[in-house]
Amino acid sequence: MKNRIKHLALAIPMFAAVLTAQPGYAQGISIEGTIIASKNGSPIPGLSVSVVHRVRGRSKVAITNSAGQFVLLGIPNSGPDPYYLEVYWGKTLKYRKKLEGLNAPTRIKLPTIQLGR
Amino acid sequence: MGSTFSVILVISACIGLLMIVGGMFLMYKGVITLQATPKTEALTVRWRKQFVLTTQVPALGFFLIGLAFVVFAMWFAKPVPDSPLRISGNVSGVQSPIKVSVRSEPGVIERDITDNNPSFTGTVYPNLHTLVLDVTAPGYGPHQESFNEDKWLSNHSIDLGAVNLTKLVSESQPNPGDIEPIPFQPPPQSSEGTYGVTP
Repeated sequence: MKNRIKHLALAIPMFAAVLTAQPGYAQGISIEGTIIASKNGSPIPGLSVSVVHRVRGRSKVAITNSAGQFVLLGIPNSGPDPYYLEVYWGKTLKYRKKLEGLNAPTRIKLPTIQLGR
Repeated sequence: MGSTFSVILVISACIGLLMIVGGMFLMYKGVITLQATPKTEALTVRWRKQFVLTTQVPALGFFLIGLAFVVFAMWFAKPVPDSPLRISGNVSGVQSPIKVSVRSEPGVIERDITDNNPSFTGTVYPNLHTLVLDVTAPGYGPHQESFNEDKWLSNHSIDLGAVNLTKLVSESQPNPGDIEPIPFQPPPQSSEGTYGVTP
């Protein structure tokens, strides 16, 4: 009986830990955003989104989903040099903007990016 | 699979077969018998109090241990996806460049590696049982398909066949001012990213 209680006492916190587990990308900066066509406001899927940095080079590339959304996770602090967000339509650069204030682990939701005329 | 491990598997299988065949041979010669011994002479195997096996027919041990070696070898020698996987398909009528990515499902294998800051240790079992293929093109709705290993493990290939992408947005010229000048030469867009994670 004592053993059963001991096992139960171990199992309950373990179960609670599993239920409350958070995704493992807590470190670094996460950048998320949405890209739409300025012409009709439609989300643009299939765009390649990445950040570039003078020292670190190019990040892994995120592809926008059918809702035009993208997420970049685990981006290191920028240091003295800023990051630039780049959006490519295939091999053609369509958008590049400087990202300020990426010096601490944080989650950034960018304002909706409107592409094209 | 590593060659050392393969050798161990072959040795294990041989030992197992040798013990089984040897046991049968010794039984044939009458050196060992399957006759039950008295209870006082019964063979008992204990492992940490949790596992206790008592038998009055010790000769069966030969077969059981031999069988364990054979099962061990068979279990670890099952085919693993360590060969290249050929992926093919045909996307027609799409003007934009196509991108095909392959990922395993679930994407994250382990989220809770034991943390003893600053060091950590953990054991994971890479899971390639289900592969998900994403076919994307700028301005087109993405196509996603998943494949269980029973569909690709035997012939090491996945054929998507004809893929139809639906056009949603047409390409347009960028707004003036959308492309900010950059004070350094960025790596080409085709270069492999060196940091960050994409889910």
